[in-house]
Amino acid sequence: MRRLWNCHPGLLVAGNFLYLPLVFDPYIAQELEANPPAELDSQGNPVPSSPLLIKAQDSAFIKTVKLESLLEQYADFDPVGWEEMRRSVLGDIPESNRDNPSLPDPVLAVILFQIMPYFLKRSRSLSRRGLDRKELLELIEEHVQLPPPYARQSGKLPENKNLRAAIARLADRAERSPGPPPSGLVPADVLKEWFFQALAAKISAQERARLSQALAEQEKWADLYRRHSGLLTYLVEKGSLEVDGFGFARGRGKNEYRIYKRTGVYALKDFYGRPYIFPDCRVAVSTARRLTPFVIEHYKHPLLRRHSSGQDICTPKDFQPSLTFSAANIIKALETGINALYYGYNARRRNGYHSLDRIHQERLISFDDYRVPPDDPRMVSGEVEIKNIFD
Amino acid sequence: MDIRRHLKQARTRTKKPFARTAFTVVSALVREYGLDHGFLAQLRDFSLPGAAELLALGLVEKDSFEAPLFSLTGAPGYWLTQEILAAADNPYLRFAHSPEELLLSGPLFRLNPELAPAALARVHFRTLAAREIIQREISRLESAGEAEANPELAAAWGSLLHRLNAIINNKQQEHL
Repeated sequence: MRRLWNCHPGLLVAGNFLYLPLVFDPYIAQELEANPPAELDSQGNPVPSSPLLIKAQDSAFIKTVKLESLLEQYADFDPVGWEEMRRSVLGDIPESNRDNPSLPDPVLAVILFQIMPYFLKRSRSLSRRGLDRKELLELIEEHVQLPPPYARQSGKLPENKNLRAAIARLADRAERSPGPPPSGLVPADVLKEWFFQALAAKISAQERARLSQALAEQEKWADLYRRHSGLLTYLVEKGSLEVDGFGFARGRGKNEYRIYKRTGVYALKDFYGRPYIFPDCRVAVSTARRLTPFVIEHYKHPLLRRHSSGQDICTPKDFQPSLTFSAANIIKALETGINALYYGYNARRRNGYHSLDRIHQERLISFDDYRVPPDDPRMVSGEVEIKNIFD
Repeated sequence: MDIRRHLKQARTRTKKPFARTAFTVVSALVREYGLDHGFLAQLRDFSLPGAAELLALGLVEKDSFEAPLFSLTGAPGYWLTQEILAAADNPYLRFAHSPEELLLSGPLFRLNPELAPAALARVHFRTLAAREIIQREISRLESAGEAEANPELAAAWGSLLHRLNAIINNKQQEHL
């Protein structure tokens, strides 16, 4: 792009298309002689309209891209320039307004309103719909004993004034669009100025739409937040919660969380079909590092290397732990971890770091203490299920 | 022609190695050294100095310059390149590595139009031109019978020619 703005003697714009000075070699020059380029009329319009080549000031110009397409796709071919421009347009808009205006802690907002509903499904219908925000906050309130100062707290929403002012400012800037592009042969710096003004207006319009949507979302839930503001403040300050086997706990960093899901008690069978009952454990993902599932408890399992706490779970090859924090990535990592513990061990193949039943060899980790008779009452009653039955 | 014969013929045909055109080399030099119409005027008025003047400039290595495989240039560069090609108009242009060699290419071609491509590609045109001038000088001395009258001068030219030939042969062989 930088080289584009240094073009001499200038750039040609006709019919919203950008024409660049033609480069030559003998073959191109020969072709140009056979097909003479169109000329500009007195008003600077090419005759005929939208030709492939135009001659102006003794130079030939060739048709390239539409200026509108250049504006549309600018983010893709110059992401760094786009981000710089976006930052300069957003300028002093506070960071908290940019991503999630509903809670002061954006990571916590994602955990509460995007990840948690996925794991807490209450609908009895076949669709197993996730909880909406209202149902979720009511459910949490049932499980949490709020200390008196929080329980008495009267609802007050986070201030919207700044957000409204930012939207108004962006709307004002979006309206200052420079209009249609200049036509004819224009100096490169004039076209550059027009292009960046148009780009700033476009970014302003986009950001305004995004913030307006965020504000509308905030206002939609305003009443709900007002009613549960004590709970939300408590959660932001405490930073930990567990409901129905799903939970999170804040780590040392401000926005660092360990998000976990309990496996519950489950059973695996060995090569001979003998059941082993495994205790409950929390499979977690930390937002402070690569999103790899690990066990929080002191735990042993064929897919864990040792018998200790904080071990990464051996996951399938096709699972690539992500580095980016997002609800989808966290859910995928937690599900992969739990599925590995439940279904990852194949009794026939005895895969994993250890096998449940290798009795003739010395074993680093023994699972004999987990073995139970097939008529164990927990299994007979259906309370504990054998997971690795693939027949 | 049946396909088998056609294929046989195609395979037996000798393939020519890819060579850059004079346009590609000259336009690359125009861009690299920022040549302008001043250089074109200099090219048109250029006359080859004597061997002594050339040698006084010193024997130098050929500049390390590699032209692109194909050259695309803007309109001013294109027309200037075409004018340089028309003014110089000789097959040694595509071996030039510097503006000085562009200047020397025409006189060198007139001195000896049968120089080997290996020598042109590896030896500076100044060295080649000096050798050609000295060779001519020796032939002139011999034809005019001045070599016997002035044996010291003939010996001096002879030893200089010997030295230049050694340099040129070494340059050609060191890349083999």
